[in-house]
Amino acid sequence: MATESKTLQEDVALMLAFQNGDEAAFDSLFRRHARVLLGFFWRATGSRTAGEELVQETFLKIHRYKASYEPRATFRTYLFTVARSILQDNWRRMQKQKAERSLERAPEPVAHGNNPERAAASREALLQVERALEELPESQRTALLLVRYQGLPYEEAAATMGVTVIAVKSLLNRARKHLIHKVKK
Amino acid sequence: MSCKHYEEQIIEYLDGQLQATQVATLEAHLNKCAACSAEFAATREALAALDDHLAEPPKMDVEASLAAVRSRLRAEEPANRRDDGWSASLRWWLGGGLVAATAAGLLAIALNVPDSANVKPVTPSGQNPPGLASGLPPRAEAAAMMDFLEQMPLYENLDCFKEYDHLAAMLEEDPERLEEILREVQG
Repeated sequence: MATESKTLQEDVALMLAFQNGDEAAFDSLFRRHARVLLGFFWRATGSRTAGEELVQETFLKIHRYKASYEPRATFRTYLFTVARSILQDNWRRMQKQKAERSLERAPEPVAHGNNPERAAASREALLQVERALEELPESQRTALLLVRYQGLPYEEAAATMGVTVIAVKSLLNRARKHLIHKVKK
Repeated sequence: MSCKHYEEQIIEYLDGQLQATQVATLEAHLNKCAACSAEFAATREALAALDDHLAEPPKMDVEASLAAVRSRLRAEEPANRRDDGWSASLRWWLGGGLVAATAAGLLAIALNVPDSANVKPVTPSGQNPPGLASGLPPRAEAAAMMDFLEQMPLYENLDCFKEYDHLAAMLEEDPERLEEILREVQG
């Protein structure tokens, strides 16, 4: 916990330094968060290519609007708030990439050796997950990704999404109910 | 506590967000309630299926991606400078200039004024409008204005001229959107 707190403070310090013109601080923030952000976008879109593009878009936006940052929230909250906004803006465009998604997230052929039945089953399971996630309303999907895969506490997920903690819990429960009907291991 | 209460705690439990006392109470309930226990098992199974596919994000070449961001930022610098000029131009046209110039153009058409006629553009300040169609003969200017007006549906938040101030402020805060609009306007 102490390490996490230190990391959060370092992030805020870097962002403030960047606001004051230190471009190297921006680079440091990118190096610290780009992978995590790619995970968020990749899970949301299913596309690594789109994910990388959105990571860049997010940091470009942070660069352009650096003056708007206020150290009231953690940098991570700010980062995911911008990321979510980028994701929403690009949602319509990403819908067109459906065909590409399944191919990109498909399991590596080597994982199943020469067992075509297992490969087919894995692919079917993957498509099931894809569909289940896709059917979720954006707010439920975002809450799920932020909490479960980005490890944000409910309070931080709520701040990122601009809703209450109770609302986050409600979104997660609705997502859970959807998933247990749509996804079987 | 009702089963509904415990059911709603299942996701918090699996996310590790429950307090120790809540964990103990929930686990005790799951041990004696078959329905909630089944709900718990189904949730755990669904999330495990998700984890199978989502837990490991793809690898990323962070330095290459950062270099791409830096490159895009460098590429934006001249574009931003160009935006300043276009921003002023767009502001002018979305303000009284657009109304006045369009009126002048339409009037010229109505009166069938020939292109070669020596008619000065009508503007609020008496100056030539900057940017789009500036300095053109009235008929050509009117045509350019009509082309411009045909683009108006592009501005989703623009309730014609009443929203001018709002739009100008929005565009100032969103140079990307401004650039997009300008690209559309310029074809």
